[in-house]
Amino acid sequence: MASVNIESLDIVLGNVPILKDMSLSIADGEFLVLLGPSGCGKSTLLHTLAGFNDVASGSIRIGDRDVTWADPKDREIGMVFQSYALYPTMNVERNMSFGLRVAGVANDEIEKRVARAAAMLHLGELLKRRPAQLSGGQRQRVAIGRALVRDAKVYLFDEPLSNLDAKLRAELRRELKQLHLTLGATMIYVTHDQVEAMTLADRIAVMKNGEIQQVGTPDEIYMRPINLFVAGFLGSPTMNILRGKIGRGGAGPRFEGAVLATDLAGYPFREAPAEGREVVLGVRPEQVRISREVSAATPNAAKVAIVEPLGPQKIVWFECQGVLLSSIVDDQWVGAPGDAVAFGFDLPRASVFDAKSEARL
Amino acid sequence: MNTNTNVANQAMRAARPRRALVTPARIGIYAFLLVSSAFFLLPLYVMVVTSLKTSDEVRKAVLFAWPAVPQFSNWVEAWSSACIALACEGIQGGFWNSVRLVIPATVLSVFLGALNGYALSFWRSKWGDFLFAIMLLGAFVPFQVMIYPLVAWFRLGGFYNTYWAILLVHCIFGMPVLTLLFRNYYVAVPTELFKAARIDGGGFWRIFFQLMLPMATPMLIVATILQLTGIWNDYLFGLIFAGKDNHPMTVQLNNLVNTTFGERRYHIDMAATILTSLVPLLVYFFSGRWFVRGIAAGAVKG
Repeated sequence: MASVNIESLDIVLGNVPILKDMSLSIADGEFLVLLGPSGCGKSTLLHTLAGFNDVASGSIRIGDRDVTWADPKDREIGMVFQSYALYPTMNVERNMSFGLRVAGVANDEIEKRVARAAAMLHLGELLKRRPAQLSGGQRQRVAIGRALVRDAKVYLFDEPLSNLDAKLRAELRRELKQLHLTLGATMIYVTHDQVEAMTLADRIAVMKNGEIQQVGTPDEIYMRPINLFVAGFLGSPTMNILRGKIGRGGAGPRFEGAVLATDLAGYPFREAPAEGREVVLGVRPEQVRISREVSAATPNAAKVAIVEPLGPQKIVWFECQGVLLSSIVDDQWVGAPGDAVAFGFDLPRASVFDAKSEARL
Repeated sequence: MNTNTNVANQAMRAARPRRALVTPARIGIYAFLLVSSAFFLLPLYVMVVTSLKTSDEVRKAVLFAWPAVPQFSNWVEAWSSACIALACEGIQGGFWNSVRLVIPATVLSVFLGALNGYALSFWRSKWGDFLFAIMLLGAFVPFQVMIYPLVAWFRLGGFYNTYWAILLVHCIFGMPVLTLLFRNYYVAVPTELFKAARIDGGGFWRIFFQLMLPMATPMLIVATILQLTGIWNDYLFGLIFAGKDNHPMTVQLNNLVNTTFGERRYHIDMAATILTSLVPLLVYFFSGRWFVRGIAAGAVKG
């Protein structure tokens, strides 16, 4: 187990700069998720940590060793790939023990470690099978097992669950989390799936175009996104976005938009915004309350457009002056498209961004 | 595999509405198949029949007639006592020369081809693609052009007309196609597999021998068949580079057929020819399935 320190790392593939001046520290025993859309450089970063890409400048340290130019095998890492990458001509046991055999570990030690990993991942009765005789979930378990037997300092996961169906993904996700709790090892995990990121991570690093946008705990990232990109990338349905201006009211700053005007008194601004500044108000669907008690005097009148039942909850999409907004309500809520509703926001928990820089205010 | 069964299933389902068995298209297909198999099989039939005739029967010149009494002694004679120039030992010497050459040349060239393909696909070096392009170019240059320079070099090196010369020539000329075959096979292998092996500590040779070579079994079989039959059937290189003591069976056969004292003994010539072509024929017979499969795989995946 070890910490990982990345310092002002630049990576250029071909002639294309992929990562620019990236710095990131991962604590010993931490589960860090690199989250971002495809092409954001998260996989490149992971493969560079593993030693498969040359570094243009900057350094990588694992524990107290500088491994910037070390060979993959000398970095004391274990890696799990999206395509499993199991050795097709070897059975499960030999797949898992390949690295140990290369390293010349004694036979009884190999047996012990394989047995331990197999027990952890419920692979006991599959040891003599070949990869072709396994299901997708079993294959990925073997791939994880193969990384585990190495007793590495850092485990790298490159979208390991993306090729699995939804049910298996949830199951293996839980197992991975349990594994991390049991082993307490440092893990770096690449995904574009926000649910995986939220559920697994101690900290999430959200990336875009080769740059880290925000690093923080899942709660921080979700509740206090640092800019519009992060706000839009996490959450389903996505955050409701309203454009408007800062105005002055009695108690403090107000939001004045086409759809609605509201008091921002409870909102924790970093600094008091100037009057007339163009802003974007972001409200998560669960921070939108809707009510069917509508009278002629209700200020925010809207019409239900679509209701999506999810089981425990319902997503209600409603329209207000040409803008479509969503709200998450409980399963008891009754309503149909065309119904008139009133709505309000849980403003202290909402987000306000600058319209130009898209940064959080 | 899965897609195969799927395709098969679909084919079965699609065949449910009974189609007429005899359609003009079907008749055309069978007619074509019959004609083309006759085209290839008739000469073989004539060869076999002639090789079993007595010289009197041959002289009657009834090409397709079956011999009155099949003379298997012709084959024995061609094998062990027919005269080539002054030596009357049949073509058995050539057979063993060919065996002595074909096995090491096949093993070596297939091994080198696999190694090349592996190195070119996974260990990307700066000049790899350039070298590969040159090698492919080599496959398109008619090899006759290179014969004289090779002869000159080998003479300079002092091993012209030796066993090593012919072995080397077969390895060199097998390289472009074999490299291409293996490179295309390995390019289709996900690089993640290679990366996983690198993390596991595998070096160049270990990854090759323990992972990539066993994985390429279908390609190995195809390449072996290609080389085995190609080298066995070679005449020109054997004649030019091998030297008198190492002449392969094809060269011996030619010498036998072209040795003329008095009358031509066509039945013995035919027997010797059949013996010579027996090895590639058997190879195709027993491995045709693999051959087609591998060629198709290699071709499509490229």
